[in-house]
Amino acid sequence: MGRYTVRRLIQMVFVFFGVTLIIYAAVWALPGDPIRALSGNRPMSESTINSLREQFHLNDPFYMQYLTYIGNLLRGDLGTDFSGRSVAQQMGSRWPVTINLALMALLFEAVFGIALGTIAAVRGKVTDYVILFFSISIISLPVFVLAYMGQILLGVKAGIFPVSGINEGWLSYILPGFILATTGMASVARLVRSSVLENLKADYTRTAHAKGLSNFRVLTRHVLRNSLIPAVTFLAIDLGYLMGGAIVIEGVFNLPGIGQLLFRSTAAQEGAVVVGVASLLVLIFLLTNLLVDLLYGVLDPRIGYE
Amino acid sequence: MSDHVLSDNPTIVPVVEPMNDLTTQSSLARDAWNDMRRNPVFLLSASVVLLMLVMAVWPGLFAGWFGSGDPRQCDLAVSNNGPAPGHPFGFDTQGCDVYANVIHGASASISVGLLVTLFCFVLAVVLGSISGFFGGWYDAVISRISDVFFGFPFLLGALILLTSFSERSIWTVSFVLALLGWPTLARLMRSTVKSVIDVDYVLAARGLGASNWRIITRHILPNAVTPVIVLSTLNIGAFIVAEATLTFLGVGLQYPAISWGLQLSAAQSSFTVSPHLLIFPSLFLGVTVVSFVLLGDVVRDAFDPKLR
Amino acid sequence: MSEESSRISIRNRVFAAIALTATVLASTACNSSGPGDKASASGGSISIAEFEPDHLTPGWGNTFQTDQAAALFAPLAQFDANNEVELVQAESITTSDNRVWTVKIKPGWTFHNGEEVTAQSYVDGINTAAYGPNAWSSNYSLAIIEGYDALNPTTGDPTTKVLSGLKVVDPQTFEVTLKSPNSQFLVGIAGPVTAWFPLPKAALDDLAAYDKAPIGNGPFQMDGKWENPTDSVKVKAYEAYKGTKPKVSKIEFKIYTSADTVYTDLLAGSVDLNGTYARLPSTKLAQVRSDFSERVVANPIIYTQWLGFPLGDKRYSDIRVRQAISMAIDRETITSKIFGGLYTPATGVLAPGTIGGSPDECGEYCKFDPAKAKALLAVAGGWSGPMELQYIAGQGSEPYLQAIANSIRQNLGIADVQLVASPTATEYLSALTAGAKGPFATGYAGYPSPSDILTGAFQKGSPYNPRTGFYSSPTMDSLVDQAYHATTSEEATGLFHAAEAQIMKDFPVAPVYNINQIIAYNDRLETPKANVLGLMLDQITLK
Repeated sequence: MGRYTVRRLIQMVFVFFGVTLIIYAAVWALPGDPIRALSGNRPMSESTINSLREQFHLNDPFYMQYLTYIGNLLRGDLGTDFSGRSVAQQMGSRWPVTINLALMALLFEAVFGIALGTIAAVRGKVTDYVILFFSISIISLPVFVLAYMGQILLGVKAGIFPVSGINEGWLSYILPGFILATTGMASVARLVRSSVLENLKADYTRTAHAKGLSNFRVLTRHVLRNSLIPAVTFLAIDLGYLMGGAIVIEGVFNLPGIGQLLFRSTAAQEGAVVVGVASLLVLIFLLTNLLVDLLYGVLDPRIGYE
Repeated sequence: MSDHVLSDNPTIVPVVEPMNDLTTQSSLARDAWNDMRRNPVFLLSASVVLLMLVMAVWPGLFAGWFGSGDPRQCDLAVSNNGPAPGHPFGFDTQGCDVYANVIHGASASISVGLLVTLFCFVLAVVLGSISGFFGGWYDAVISRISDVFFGFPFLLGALILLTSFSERSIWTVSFVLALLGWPTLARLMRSTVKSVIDVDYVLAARGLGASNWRIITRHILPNAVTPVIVLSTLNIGAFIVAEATLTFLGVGLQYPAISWGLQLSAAQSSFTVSPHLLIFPSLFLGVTVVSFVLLGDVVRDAFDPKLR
Repeated sequence: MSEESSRISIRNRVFAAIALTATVLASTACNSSGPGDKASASGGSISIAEFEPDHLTPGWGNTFQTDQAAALFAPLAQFDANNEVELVQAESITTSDNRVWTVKIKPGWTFHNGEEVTAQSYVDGINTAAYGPNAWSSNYSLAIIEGYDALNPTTGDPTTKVLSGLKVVDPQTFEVTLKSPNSQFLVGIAGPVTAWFPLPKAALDDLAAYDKAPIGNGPFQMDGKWENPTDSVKVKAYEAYKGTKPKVSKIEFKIYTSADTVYTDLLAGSVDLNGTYARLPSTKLAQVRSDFSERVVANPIIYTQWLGFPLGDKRYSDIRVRQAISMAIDRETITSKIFGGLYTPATGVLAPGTIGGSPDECGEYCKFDPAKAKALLAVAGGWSGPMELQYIAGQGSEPYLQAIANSIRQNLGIADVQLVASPTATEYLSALTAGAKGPFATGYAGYPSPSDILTGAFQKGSPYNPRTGFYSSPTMDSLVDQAYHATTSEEATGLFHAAEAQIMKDFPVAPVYNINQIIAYNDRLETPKANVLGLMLDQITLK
């Protein structure tokens, strides 16, 4: 296991640099001149445009730009966007918002997913189908539809939740977190349901019943423990996705997170921002995947790592 | 992917018990079919799926039931009007008949769902099998490549790909979605292949001198591919929804294409005053997705011997 | 490790994760700011929705800082409610030849830190904007001043940091020498989004730090710093302000990324009104009046939206083709159905609200007449092949462009009309510059002087010339030049209108609509006032 981990970590370094190169090249390859577009509705003089291009090395050949960027990166300097604002500072102010949203969503996914999945498996066919139908109906609506509807119905009309922004502490994250969690919730519920169903029929369950344990005891002490493995692995991977920032949710609920930053910087071709944010996201994905693979190897003895 | 553009059910799924010979295999299939035949959920979902597929291929069969059936016959003067004689679903913002548009929208939306699923399935089976069966460097390279796709910012990738294609057709949109969706399925394929690979009969086959190709195609694939098939049917629905979200973000299909995604994207801003614009496409989209997912679920349950 | 114990540890880990989550969220709640500034009868504070500015210093950043700049800084002159120029910090702005302008400022005005505002403060501010390497967005507007080129050489570094055309005469007076006479100078410097603002000495030492909490000369001062771009900008009334005191004592400019969210927050009442450039999404305009009833203000603002044509493309080079397409656009129905009657059909390239008015120079070619359109197209040789309308995605343009596309398809008999979206503005811009593939949706946001759009877009080599398909007309140029030399405003107006008539005679673009500034506001406010440049902040009153 140890050697495997070391090998994976070494591979990770290669992948990380490879991906940052690809992303950098991708932004560089986008058509259009981001400096000219910067002026928006106010024209810029040629001299200003030229000095900005000099400042951001946009006249250098591609490999020079990339090497300059990597050089700065290794020194801890993530650079600035074209308006002069620090990338590191923007990322630093936005990460907590994304993390809060991700954790809130994960909480909903875990709690509701496990609860619904267990109930569906334990309570009988009708309940099973009702829950299945309900959870599938939720995921059949695109997330932006759910987001706007939730916002209008529960935020504006019913006044239960804040409509937008992060001004009300963790209350601000409840509605966006829930909507973000809907797809994951359904997946977790289905995973838990099928595992629980399997385990309910297993020998040790019958043994437990024969020993005289109540249904509830059997469920919570024996069946659930074993049924949670697939759900937990899913949740671990999902956290990686959630950290990537939920572009639509952040936009609709005006949460200043990483997703919106990436979205706008991509449209504005802000190379430094996009590469900075995307590289960090790739790192998180790689680490999460490594953890999940290790977890998997520990849990399922059929999977061997040489 | 952010926002669960694709629904995930990645690495763990109940693994299908390996089959020893062909008779057992076909009797499992026959057993499954017998089970499903009598299952009302299967019958219902399968018929709806069939209905939607027919609608996707021949919209004209359904579109003309109430009015002219022409989704492009538009009169701006009746913009956003509600249901009226000959127009049971009302009119959209352009004054076009919503009913005809919803019927015609099935084609693009379902096509995207099926195309993406097919692309992903092929990529996942091939790469996942290689990765799982041969292991070693093949596995490392393919897994790291799939990590890259996992981690690549979705919007950036979509922008790059769509700006290099000069048009936004069903094919290009499907290609983009597929490139971003195959890693999940490939990981699943890889893990099921890995769990099947050390089983006795495979070792026996090797001992008998069977070539790798034969082992893969006759022993590994039939067993390992079922969860991938089942997950793919579940994903068809997710990809149909993903098309709508892509359009909403500005990188999906556009006029003059007709799809549920375009309709939903246009409807969401005025749903408090013109709910009919949102309700009817959502209904059709929802029913389609639910049917595909239920179908997949029933098929999986039927084929899973652990649930017998 | 046995399976049993590994599973136990999994469960423990899950519980631990949940506990950790709860702790993190609880601590976040403790660390985050208090509840937002909800409506309160006392305190006289309001909140305004804005999009994210990149800088707060006027003249440095994009247009999204307009309202903040108007709060923090007092301009030399501004527009009043009747769109007349009224002097604010300036006591007089005079000229004898339209070329040398003498600006006299009122004495005794101070910056928020107590420093006195002098002519030198103004000259410092203007020079900072004019200095090329600073990359201030208002830089280009100073190109009319003598000495500008030395600060903005096309190659190499500037040789000096001061404009030779700016001269301090005495502590209250400075002189501006333009490269050539310009009768529209005064109009060009009025308003909040210009380079004509003073800077205190504190700014000159460290512009970046200054930008986080600009010290201005206006009716409000910063209440705290603006550290992160997504933070609200909070200002409070400046007690020692010498101009017209505002009616509220605090303003919070809340920052949004999505216009739809601005709209929803307005509905919920969590923000009081939307700012000048926080435009309501055009997809919501049809329902604004029913959602807000009378709490809507619609005021002309200088913006014309048109359909440009690639004039070099031989399919569009025949003027009759362009005119036919224009006559197939039903502007009345589009503005009433899709924009809820809140925008107005265009009758030329000058927008309503422009000084001197916006005459109907487009005439019959801007009126919907499908029969005439089809006939004209046939005379021009008909049309074959696809027509591809270009636009930028994500700006809410789809509904009105689809209406135009449908109309062209159904009325001109062109079967294959497509909408082609550019995913980003940068890509759109470069596509336009390289030569668009079909008619393209674009427009011009400008200043109240007619010269702004005429020289900003319709002159060869002007910055926005690509948006007109690279239109160029020496006749039009000379008419504008004569207007610059005009001695009376009536004379200037007449000449500008003649220039516009020339443009419409050549018909390079098909004007579609003009927008109004739509402000939806909270019940607790009196009706906000706006003029042709935007919100009038000092007039906002609580009930």
